[in-house]
Amino acid sequence: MASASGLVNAALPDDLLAEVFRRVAAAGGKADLDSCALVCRRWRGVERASRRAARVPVDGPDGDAVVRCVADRFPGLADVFLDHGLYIAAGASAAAAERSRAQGWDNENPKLDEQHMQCSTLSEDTQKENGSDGVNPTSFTDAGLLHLIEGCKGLEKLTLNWFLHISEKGLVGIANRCRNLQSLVLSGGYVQNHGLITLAEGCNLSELKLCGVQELTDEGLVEFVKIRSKSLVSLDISFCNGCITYRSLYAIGTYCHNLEVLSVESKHVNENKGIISVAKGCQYLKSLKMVWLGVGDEALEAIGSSCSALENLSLDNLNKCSDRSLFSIANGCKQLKSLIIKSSVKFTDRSIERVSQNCKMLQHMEINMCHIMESAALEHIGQRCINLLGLTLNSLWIDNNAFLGFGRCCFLLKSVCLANCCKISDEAISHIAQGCKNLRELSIISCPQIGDEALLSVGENCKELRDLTLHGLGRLNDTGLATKIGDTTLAKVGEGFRKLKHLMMLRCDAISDVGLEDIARGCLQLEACGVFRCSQVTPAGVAALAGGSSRLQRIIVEKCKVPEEATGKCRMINDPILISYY
Amino acid sequence: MAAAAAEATTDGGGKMIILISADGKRFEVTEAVASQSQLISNMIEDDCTENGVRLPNVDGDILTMVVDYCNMHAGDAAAAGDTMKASSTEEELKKFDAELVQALENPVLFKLILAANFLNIKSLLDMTCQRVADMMSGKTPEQMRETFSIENDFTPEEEAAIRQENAWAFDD
Repeated sequence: MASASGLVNAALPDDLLAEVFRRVAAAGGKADLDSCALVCRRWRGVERASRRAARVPVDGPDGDAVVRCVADRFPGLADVFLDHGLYIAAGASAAAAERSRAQGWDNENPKLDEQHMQCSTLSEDTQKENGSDGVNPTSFTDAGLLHLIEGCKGLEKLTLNWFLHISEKGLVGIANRCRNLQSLVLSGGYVQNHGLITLAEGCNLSELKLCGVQELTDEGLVEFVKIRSKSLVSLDISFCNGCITYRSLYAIGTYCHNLEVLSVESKHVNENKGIISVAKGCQYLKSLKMVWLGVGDEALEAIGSSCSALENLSLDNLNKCSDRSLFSIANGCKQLKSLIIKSSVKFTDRSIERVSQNCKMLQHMEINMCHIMESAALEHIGQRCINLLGLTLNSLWIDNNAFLGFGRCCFLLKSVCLANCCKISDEAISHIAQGCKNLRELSIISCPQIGDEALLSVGENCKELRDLTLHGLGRLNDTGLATKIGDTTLAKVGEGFRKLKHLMMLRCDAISDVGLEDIARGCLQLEACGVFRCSQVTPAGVAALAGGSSRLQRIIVEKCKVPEEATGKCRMINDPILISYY
Repeated sequence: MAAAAAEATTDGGGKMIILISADGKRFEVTEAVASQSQLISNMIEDDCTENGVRLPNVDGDILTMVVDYCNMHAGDAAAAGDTMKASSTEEELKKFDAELVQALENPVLFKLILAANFLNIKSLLDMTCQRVADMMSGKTPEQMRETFSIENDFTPEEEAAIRQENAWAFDD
C-alpha cells in the first residue's frame, strides 16, 4: 500500500479508472459516482468526463444556466433527461400517485415513483421555492439546448419534458449536431411539422416518443416515418391534440417494416384502414398499444391474422371493438405475453375464455373497467394460463369464485393488484394466498369488504412478500360494514411478513399506533413505509415505526405527524430521511 | 504451473506457444488457452508467435496469474458441449474467480487490471475492474480516500462546487 506503484492513481491510467467508474454507476448509481468525484481532483476529472446519464431539472429562473453548467462539466453524457424539477421531486410524484390511486387508476409505474423518491432531500427545497401551486414557468430555452448539444457530442438518448420555450431552432440544432442520437422523447411543448421532418433527416432515430405535443399534424408525422422508415423501431404518440388520424397510421404500415413497438393515443382515428395497414406492413410488431382509437373489429381482426409475433397488447377505451376482436387476437397471436384491456362494455366472458384457451404464454393480464365481464372469465384464465406472473383487476363486478382458478393453478404468480372490486371479500384473497406462495407484491385498493382475515391468510402463506399496499381499507367503517384492518392484523403482519421491504398504507382509518408498533417489531427488513392519511396514527406511532427496522430509510407521513425525536433517532441508526407532505 | 500446461496439451492437443514475461520467465500454453487474449489471438492469426511472445509490460508473477486464469477458462470452453460437466465447471470457475480477486492486495490487483487491459482479455478485465468498483460502492469520499490511500487535494471552495454540480444532475 505504501509504495507509489500500489496507489490507484499511480497505477491506473484515466481510461481504466473510467472503466471502474462505469461499473460503480451500474451497481450503485449516482450517489456513489458523486462520492467518487469528491475524492480528489483527478477522480473528479475522470468521473465528470465519463458519466453517461443525468436527469437535470430545468425549471426555475435559470434553467439555461443549469443546462450549460451540466454540459460544461459532463461532456461524456449520452443519456440526458431534461425535466421539470417538480416531476423529479418526491413530493410531486407521491402526490400524483396518491391522486391517481384515489381516482381508481392504479399505479401504472410504481418503480418510477420509487426512483423519484430517492431525490427526497432536494424535493422539500424545490417545493418551498416553487410555492404550493407547483406551477413554475420554465426558463429553459433554445440557448440552453444548443449549449447541451455543443457540450455533449455523444448524445444517444435525449428526453425533453415540459419544453414550452424550445422552438424549431432548438429542434433543428438537435438535427444538425446530434449524429449519434437514437432515441428522442418530446413531452409537453411545441413541435412543428418542419422541425420533426428536419429531425428525421438529421438523426438516425430508432425510437421516438411524442407526448402532449402541440402544433404537429399528420403531415409532419407521415413525412417523418417516410424518411425514418428503415431505422424506426419504436414509436409512441399520445395526447397530441388530435394531430394524428388514420393517415399517420397508414404511412407507418406502408413504410416502417422494422417497427416493433407502436403506441397510439388519439381520438381522431375513426377509420380501420390505418391499423389494417399497420397489421399488414409491420410483421415484426411485438408491442401494440391503442388508446381511444375509433377502430372496430375489422382492424383487430387484421392484427390477429397478420401479427403473429405480437407479445404485448393493450386495448384501452376501444369502444367499437367487441368479442370478435378478442377471438381473432386469441386465434392469431399465440405468443401473447401481456394483455391489457381497459374500459370496454363489449368484451364478455366468452372472448376471455378463448384467450385463456389459446394464449398459453400469457404472463401479465390486466382487466380494468369491463363491466359486463363476470367471474367465469377469470376462472378460465386462472385454470389455463398457468404461466401468469402478474395480475391486475380494477373495477370489475366479480365475486370470490373468480379467484378459485388462480389459487389452484397459477403457482408462479408474483404480483397481484386488486382495485375497486366491491363484491370480493377475504375469501378471494385467501384463495390467492393459499395457492400462490411466491407472491412478491400485493396491492389492495378500495375493496371495501376486504379486511383482517385476508391479511392473516397472506401473512401465513406468502412468506416471500416484499411489497404490500393497502389503500382505502376501513374507510367504510362508519357505514356499518363490519370489516376493517385493525391493529390485531398488523401484529400478524409483523410476524408473517418477515421479508417485507415496502409497506404503504393509505386511508386505513382503523390503524393506530399499536399497529405501527407491531410492524416495527416484526418487519425487520422494512426499507420504506408510508402511513398516509390514516386518521388514528399519531407522531408517537411514527416514532415507534422509525425505531424498528434498521434498514428503514424512508417514512412517508403527513408533516404534522413527523415526531421531533424520531428524526434524531432515525438519523442515528442509518441516516434515513423522513419526507413529509402537506 | 508446469502441470497445468501439460494438462492443457493433452486436453486441447493444439499448438503450443511460449509467453515471455518482462523479467524473462517463460510460460508454455496451448493456442486455445492463449487466444483468450485478443492481443495474442491476433498475433496467432498473423503468424508471429514462432519465437515466443514477449510481454514487456507484464511481470512474471502477474503473468502466472493470467495464465492460471486462462487455463481454467479454456477448460470451460472445451467442456461446453457436455451440459452436466459444464454446469459443475461453471460453479468451480466462479469459485476460482472469486478466490483469485478477493485475495489480492491492491497493488497486485491494479497490475492485474493493467495486464488484462494490455492482453485484452475482456472477462478478466471485467472481473478485476468490478472488484475495484465494489471497493468504492457505498462509501463516503473520506472512506474511499482511506481505502485507496489518496490525499484530499481539494480546497473547500472546490469541494462546495462539486457538491453543487452533483445537485444539478439527478439520478435517472
